[in-house]
Amino acid sequence: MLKAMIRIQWRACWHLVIALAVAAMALPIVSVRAGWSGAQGNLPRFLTELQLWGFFYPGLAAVTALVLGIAIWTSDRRGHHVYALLLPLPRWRYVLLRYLAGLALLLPVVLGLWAGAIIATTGLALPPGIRVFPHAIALKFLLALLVLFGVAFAAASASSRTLGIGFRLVGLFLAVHIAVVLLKPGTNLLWTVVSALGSSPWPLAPMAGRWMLIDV
Amino acid sequence: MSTAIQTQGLSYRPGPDFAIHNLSLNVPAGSLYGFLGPNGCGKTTTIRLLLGLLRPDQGSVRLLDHPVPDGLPAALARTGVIPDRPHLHRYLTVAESLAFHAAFYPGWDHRWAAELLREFRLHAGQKVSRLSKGETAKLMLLLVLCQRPDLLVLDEPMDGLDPVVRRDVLAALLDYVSTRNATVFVSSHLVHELERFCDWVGVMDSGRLVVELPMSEFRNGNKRIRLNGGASAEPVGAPFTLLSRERESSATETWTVRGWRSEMTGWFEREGLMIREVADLDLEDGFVELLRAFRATEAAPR
Repeated sequence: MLKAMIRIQWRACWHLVIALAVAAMALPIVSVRAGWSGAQGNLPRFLTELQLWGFFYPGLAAVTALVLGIAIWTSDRRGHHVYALLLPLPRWRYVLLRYLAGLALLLPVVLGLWAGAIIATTGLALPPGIRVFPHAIALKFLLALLVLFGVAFAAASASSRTLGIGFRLVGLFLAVHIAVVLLKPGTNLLWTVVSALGSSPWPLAPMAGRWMLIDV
Repeated sequence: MSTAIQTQGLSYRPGPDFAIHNLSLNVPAGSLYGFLGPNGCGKTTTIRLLLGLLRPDQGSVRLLDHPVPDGLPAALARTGVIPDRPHLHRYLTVAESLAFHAAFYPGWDHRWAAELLREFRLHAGQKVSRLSKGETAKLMLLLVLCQRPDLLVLDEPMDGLDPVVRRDVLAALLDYVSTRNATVFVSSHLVHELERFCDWVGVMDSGRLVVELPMSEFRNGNKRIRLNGGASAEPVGAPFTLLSRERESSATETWTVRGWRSEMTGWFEREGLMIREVADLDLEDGFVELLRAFRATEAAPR
């Protein structure tokens, strides 16, 4: 069943997966080349340039998760999930199959980034004290992708009613945030929650921190 | 008699304008059950309730002896469904659709699937999005038949199909049923479509089950009777159901009755009425008269 599910998801999303894998492979290579030429041999400037390029890694993870998370459910949503609901298996098992097959689609993108990171850092003549982290950045990208894909997958699989409840909750939170800002200036509820979620061991922790392919 | 589908006191109200009321269906195992009713009467909603796609407000459903929704996966493993709006993954080819569907059914008949593919003149490499309505209907039927189901639930499967495709679909369906002794539950608003092959009929109107009986009884029990003499008498204690009566002249009336048997002529003689003619009603006329009588009863003040 899983094999069949992977096969149909690949048929639905192969063009997206390939485009994202190419983008993931290109990112480290382009960042190192562009950073190096921009810095004109100045090492601190090169690292600063790389740090700026580092924002693209979580960005790419977010785009990949969102695009594939939505694409996986598009056909089922179009048919109001009737085909899926009439298959002889419990609903949780169908969702699990979809999720696992979705994870398989993330693999080419992660491998693309890993290969790109290795290619970008191979043969670089770096001064002593400077190290390359192709495996670490690929691992961090994988973890970030897993978290974001989980969120996007769950949101895309939700019914319109559940999504409506979710949006209302977010709206309510933003309203509370604005009220708190107005009543007690200097308090930023939104930032507090975002930084809490982004710190260890909360789910968005892999997104935070420095995304450096080359660092001291 | 075992039942393939059984509902008891099924009620469902999706909104203020429509509801399924206290529906109790009994679909005998091995029967070809025609589920008749005008458009919008609740046939599709009932089918969705049977298949666990909707949750009833009250009542229970058993599908092939499995309670719904708890035993739904086990029931669906033996049930082939063609929903009212068939949906297949449009980006797949016919062959890929078959392979995907087959992965969920251990009893999938690969050889027969290949045969039906040829018989239905479907091309394995053709994309589902490029199939015509008739080809999609054939593919849907192929998918459900090759599961080797014990029960087929078909929601208006012939709707919008041309006569040639209709005949192909019907032939394949009847061929399967005759060899496998499967139960077929098929809904339609086209009476003549079901008349030819169904042996049980359930008629629904405004979310209620009007009648459920063997097709032979439904077909033979509906008569149009022309009467002479004292025709203004009320049919109190009649052994049949009077669906409608029309006065032709002061002494002649035409009655449309249900549940008629020839030995009931004695009742008319006792009432001083003389039967001039007894004519069969075809299924469609019987269906129309039945609904007319049902609606008149529903509209009458209680």
